[in-house]
Amino acid sequence: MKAEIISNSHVARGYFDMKFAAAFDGAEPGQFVMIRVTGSMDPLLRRPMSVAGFENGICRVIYKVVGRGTQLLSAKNPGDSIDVLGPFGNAFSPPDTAENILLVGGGIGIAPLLYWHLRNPGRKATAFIGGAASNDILCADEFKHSTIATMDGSAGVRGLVTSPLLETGLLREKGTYLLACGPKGMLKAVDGICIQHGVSGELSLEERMGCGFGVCLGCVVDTSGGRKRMCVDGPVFGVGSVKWQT
Amino acid sequence: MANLKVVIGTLELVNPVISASGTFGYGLEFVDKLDLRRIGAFATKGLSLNKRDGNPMPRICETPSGMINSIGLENVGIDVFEMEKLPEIRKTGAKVIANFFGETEDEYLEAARRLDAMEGVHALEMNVSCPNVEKGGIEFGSDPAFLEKLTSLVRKAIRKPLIVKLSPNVADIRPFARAVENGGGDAISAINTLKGMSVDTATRRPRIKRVFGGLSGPAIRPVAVRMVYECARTVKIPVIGIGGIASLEDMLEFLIVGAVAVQVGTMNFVEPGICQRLAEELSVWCEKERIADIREIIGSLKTD
Ligand SMILES: Cc1cc2nc3c(=O)[nH]c(=O)nc-3n(C[C@H](O)[C@H](O)[C@H](O)COP(=O)(O)OP(=O)(O)OC[C@H]3O[C@@H](n4cnc5c(N)ncnc54)[C@H](O)[C@@H]3O)c2cc1C
Ligand SMILES: Cc1cc2nc3c(=O)[nH]c(=O)nc-3n(C[C@H](O)[C@H](O)[C@H](O)COP(=O)(O)O)c2cc1C
Ligand code: FES
Repeated sequence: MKAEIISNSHVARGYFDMKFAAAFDGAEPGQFVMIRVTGSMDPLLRRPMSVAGFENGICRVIYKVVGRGTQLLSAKNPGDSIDVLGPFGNAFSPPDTAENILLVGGGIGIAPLLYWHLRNPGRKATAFIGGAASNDILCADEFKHSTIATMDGSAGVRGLVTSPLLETGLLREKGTYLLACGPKGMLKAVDGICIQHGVSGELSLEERMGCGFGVCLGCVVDTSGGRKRMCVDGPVFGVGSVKWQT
Repeated sequence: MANLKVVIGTLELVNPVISASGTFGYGLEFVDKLDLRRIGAFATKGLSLNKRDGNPMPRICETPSGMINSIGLENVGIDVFEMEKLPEIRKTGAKVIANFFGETEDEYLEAARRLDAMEGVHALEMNVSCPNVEKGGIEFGSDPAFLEKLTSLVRKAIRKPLIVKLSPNVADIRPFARAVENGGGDAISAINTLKGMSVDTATRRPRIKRVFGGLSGPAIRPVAVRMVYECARTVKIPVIGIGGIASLEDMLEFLIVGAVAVQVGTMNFVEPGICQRLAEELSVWCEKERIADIREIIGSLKTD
């Protein structure tokens, strides 16, 4: 589906914040779209991008330039069109009884958590945002409460995002529920922390995707509920359900 | 309106556009993406007697104008296909080609018999690019004599049209095409994926866990066109052309070199409605070119 780009701004070194007129009615936080960045055959496959916002028919994605596809995307101007399919996948669904939501994002993984936060302004949430350096910390100002951690110490505390998470007393509070998105290593660590503290939550996973709608079988993950396709059964999975590959 | 109907054995297709195995799931994933009655047929994900989990991750990667996969023939198994998928597929009115494979001759035979007996399966496509566990893992489709024997055994065991899908990973594909014809196969489909490899130079690791995988997509089209041409000149049974089709033009290439029908694979991922679009474009093109019957195009290559 053709979609017109409304804005595509360079928000930090290597990161862009894009809005486009969506051909779909809406998207839930946690869902993603598949973007074809060029009509030519190279790059061939669509790129999965989490929905970072949706309002009045306008969809937002925040992305990091890592290779050819995102490079081409970053060169697009308002008025240009892209080809978008979706939204695909399941959504974050913290129970209403969860009083205290922890949002743990690593790098660009903050995108779907931001959307959840903006869609649920009434719910108490604390964000833990991690990244390699200060330019990898995105949208911190859009969260009401946030703690930042960077590997080089250029913003917030130095080290992994899991350190400030462990230091807060929040994990021990009743009614705490965690939502996380980020690199596999971070998710695996967060999964372990949650299990250890008896905290429930959801993790949004990432894997190469050939199609995004369940037919190529390129994105499978083994879970306690059996083999799943990340694109249709996920990308969001419950804490404690993913069988991490070593 | 031009006549786009083509016949493969006793299988009649409303047009020559088929979606390829492994790129179209069990068809059901596409009911909201196109009208399954407006494409010639679809081929199911490769089915085996027992469900398979396939190869470890990562098992896909993108390459220039293509992709490599080593899914490892993951599928739900014939039982689940019959009980859960087929009843739903039947409601769509789609023409169904059941793609299947085995790890032994007996598994091939048993899978073929089972699929042959199922209402709603219109033809069988035998994938012979699968390692033979009884013969040290060499592929069934890598020895013409063996291929002829397997084709003939399966042919005798079933009633529905049997399409044999050839691997391109051979020095000369013609003896394999001949083997299928001699074995009594009703049609040949070609090509399956080309064995390939890609390396992440930053990590110095293969991009695919199993190191090798199958290359598909527009990158392989010239190789596929050549092989389909060779097959079509070698045998009298119909040849179905597969490999990198992304446009009307691409499809015409295969038809001109002698393919009676085509299959579209990887591009279903990029454009889920592509098969219907190509069928419609073919119809419009024939009209414009004043071609009354698609058969006027098939094998019309000029080499003088
Ligand atoms: C569900 C989901 C949501 C995502 N959301 C976002 C987001 O909101 N913002 C963002 O910046 N990135 C997101 N990603 C990662 C993003 O898809 C990749 O960074 C992007 O595809 C890279 O494309 P490229 O051509 O620039 O890189 P290349 O490395 O040249 O891409 C080569 C191939 O690998 C795939 N690939 C490379 N990196 C990844 C990766 N990390 N995950 C999955 N596939 C990858 C590409 O899609 C492509 O097929 C998400 C991934 C998934 C699975
Ligand atoms: C992800 C993927 C899975 C595939 N699975 C099968 C399969 O199960 N059985 C089979 O016979 N071919 C399988 N194929 C091969 C395709 O049907 C087709 O022959 C090949 O991809 C070439 O066509 P294309 O370039 O249009 O994709 C698969 C291809 C891909 C990309
Ligand atoms: S991306 Fe193709 S099955 Fe998930």
